[in-house]
Amino acid sequence: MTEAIEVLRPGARTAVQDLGRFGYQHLGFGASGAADQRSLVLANQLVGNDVRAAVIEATVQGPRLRFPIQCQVAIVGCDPMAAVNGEAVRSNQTILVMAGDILDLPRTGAARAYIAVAGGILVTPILGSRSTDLVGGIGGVDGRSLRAGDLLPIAQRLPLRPWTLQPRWMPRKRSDLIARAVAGPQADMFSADSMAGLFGSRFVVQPGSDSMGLRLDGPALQPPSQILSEGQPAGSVEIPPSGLPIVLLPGRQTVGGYAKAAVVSRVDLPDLGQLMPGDSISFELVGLDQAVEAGRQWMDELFDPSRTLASL
Amino acid sequence: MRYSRFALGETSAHVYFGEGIDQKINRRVHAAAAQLRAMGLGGVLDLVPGYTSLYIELDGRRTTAGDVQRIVDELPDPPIDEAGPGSLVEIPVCYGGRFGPDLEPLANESDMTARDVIDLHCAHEYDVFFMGFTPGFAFMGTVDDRIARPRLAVPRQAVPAGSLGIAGNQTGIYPVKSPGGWRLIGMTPLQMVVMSPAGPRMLLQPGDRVRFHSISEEEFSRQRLECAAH
Repeated sequence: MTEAIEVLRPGARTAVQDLGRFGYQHLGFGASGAADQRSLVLANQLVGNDVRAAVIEATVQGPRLRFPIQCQVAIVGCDPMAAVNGEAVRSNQTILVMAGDILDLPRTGAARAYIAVAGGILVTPILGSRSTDLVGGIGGVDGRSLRAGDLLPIAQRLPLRPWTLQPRWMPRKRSDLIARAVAGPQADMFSADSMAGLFGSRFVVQPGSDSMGLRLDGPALQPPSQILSEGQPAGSVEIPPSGLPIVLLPGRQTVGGYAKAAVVSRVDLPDLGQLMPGDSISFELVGLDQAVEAGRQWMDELFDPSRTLASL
Repeated sequence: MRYSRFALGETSAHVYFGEGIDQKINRRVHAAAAQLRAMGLGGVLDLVPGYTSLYIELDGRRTTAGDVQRIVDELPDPPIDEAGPGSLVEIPVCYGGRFGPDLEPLANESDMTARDVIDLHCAHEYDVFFMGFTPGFAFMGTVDDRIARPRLAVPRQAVPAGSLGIAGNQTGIYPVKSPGGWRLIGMTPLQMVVMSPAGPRMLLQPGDRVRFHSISEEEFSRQRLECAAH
């Protein structure tokens, strides 16, 4: 039987997300998906979900939710402030909420926190995904951020054993991130000075950054001429005419016309989804083979609950 | 399969088939996409054609960009349908006024009247090169050099759905409300994308040819009501 979580207060920008919508980018449907996919996966694992299940993504100020039935929940983030019925609860572990309980997430800690519920958030999948595509206006709840009064369907599940995260997977706030990156498809269009500037400088995240991308301030690079629009991976470090880099997050558009100097490695991409305006970031160039191997090992480990979860 | 450049990424690849906005090059991009799509390679999440490039997104676990390059290297050149697969689509547009706030400035910059700009825009048959940016946004070209103008220096925060814009030699219609920097010269009452249980239905497909014709504001209102009723 299906029940529904009631949204009492939506928070600043709260939306249903999963790993993303793939297979439709050629029609202009963005991949969307959680900005911090590592936290999404960990949250799902803590409540025994498939990693592809949908969760609630909260940005800066989270929601207030009423649960219709007893269920297991996990809030994953960098030290978020969370309470059930006004009493503080622990994040980054499985917790149990009862029918009628009110979960409040006034602060996400870093930029985002994820609320996973056993069985997943069962909004209707659109084009194979429950992710909210805010630009295309599809997925999640009516293709938009949550509002007060929205109902999020969930299913009854028998409680499983509760878990916490192994220490190396505990989310940590990184206000001075070093992101590894490989050379981008247009790296050759940039001067040696520009590439040295990109990989030898500290940049500061600007207001106006969102789930589509981070706008950075720092030494301006010499912008090359624009390119013909083409597909673009999450993590692309593109240089617009201002010379100030923009790093694309999973919620990016399907195509873009700015040259891509570098692409952030998947291992470090989730950390970018946790940066706030004022945080700083620098880039470290790594070789392609090294990045591919490190990325594979990281994925194999992340997707294996026996290597991410620890007994409570 | 021949290509001009293959850029390897950690979980993606870009294959380039030439340079410039050119229908011949673009047909090769789509033929390559169709060939790879038909192969159903494990680990390929998306195949996204651009003007000259095919972007391939990978899950990074099963298949690497290097694997894809080895596969592409072994493939024969796909057959190209010279006639093109698409159909001719007529699109009504109400030009200027509140529907196309950049028409007058664009005409002034180009030393012509708004009427001249409309006539030149309607005189051409455009090719749909690919879809992207937002659901159902078709990149079309090529716009007559005399009315080809760069994007706005500062993009608009919100462009209404149906707006017709020019960016350089490209023209396109915003299918949903979104930010955008193209010069807006008019608006169509047609819906570019309709979501249905069977999947999205797109008014335009890559390979289609498009002709625009000018309609009055009254006609625009009538057709918009008709579209909404369907």
